[in-house]
Amino acid sequence: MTCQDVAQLLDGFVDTELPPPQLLDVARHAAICANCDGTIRELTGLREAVAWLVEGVARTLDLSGVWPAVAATIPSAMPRRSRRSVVPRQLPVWGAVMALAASVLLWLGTAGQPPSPSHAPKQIASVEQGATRARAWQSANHAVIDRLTGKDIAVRREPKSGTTVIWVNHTVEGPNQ
Amino acid sequence: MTLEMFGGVLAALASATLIVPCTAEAQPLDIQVTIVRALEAGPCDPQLESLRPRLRHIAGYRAYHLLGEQQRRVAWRNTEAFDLGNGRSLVLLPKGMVDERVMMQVRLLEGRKRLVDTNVRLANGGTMVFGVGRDARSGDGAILILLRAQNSPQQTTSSTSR
Repeated sequence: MTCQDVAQLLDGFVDTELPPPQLLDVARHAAICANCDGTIRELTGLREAVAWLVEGVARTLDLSGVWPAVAATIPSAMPRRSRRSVVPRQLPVWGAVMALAASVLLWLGTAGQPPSPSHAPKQIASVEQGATRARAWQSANHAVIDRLTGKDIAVRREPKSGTTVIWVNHTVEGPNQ
Repeated sequence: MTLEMFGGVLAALASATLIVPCTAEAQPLDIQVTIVRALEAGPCDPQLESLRPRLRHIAGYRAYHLLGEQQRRVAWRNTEAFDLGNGRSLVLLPKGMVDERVMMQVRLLEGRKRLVDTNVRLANGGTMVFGVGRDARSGDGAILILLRAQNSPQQTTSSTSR
């Protein structure tokens, strides 16, 4: 393996994405080539520095208010789901916050070490937890109707609590009156 | 311990395992039915004052009177009828729990006539509403039936009406 070959495989080597035989070849070459060894060490050091920097920034971020705030926006957005009103208002703010949080988590999960399956569930769990909380909040009085028959009836949802209302358009006076 | 005794203990344990309920459906279901009369004008019952804004959203009327309230612990897969007065009744058939939701058939009857016949899945402890009446703008008044279902052994069993 030449220095040129190593230069082409450098990123894959540092990210441990190369197949094992190639990883070994690059490592063997780096053991006898001070130039390539230095380049690899430099790149590894750079990655570690970036990871440390991002980790420091991530520690200062307070994301505890993100999900409650997202959940708070859901009821107002639910009744009118027109694309015009929802997309331009909410995507820039919450989309940016969530994308930043997701990027930081993803980066931290993969930085400095090979992607391992143990990192993936952490991220999924936090997303699912938030979604579950929002779903639970939303569906407290929300009934799922599997079948409905009757004459002149309408199903409504009370916007604030999501309470399901089945309304029969009928005179109040019953047969006994 | 002799072999016979050991066998007896095992048999008792097996029986207990079979008898002891292991699903949410083994717990009783508490049903609360509240009947409310909605009117365009007049005073609102103090008991319903806190619910008034929500009821107004639901029915559009301004005044609410509590006509009756019934709480009953019911058995699964058994039909239960609640007398709503005025010839109407709410007939429930709780079928089971699915995803923390109470699955039941609900029929709102007026005499023998079915005003509503539905299969619903209501969140455990959640409330749904049936309304009978014309639009609030017509000012004829309406009847609201608030149905709450909770699969919990802590609830008390009582029945009241007025």
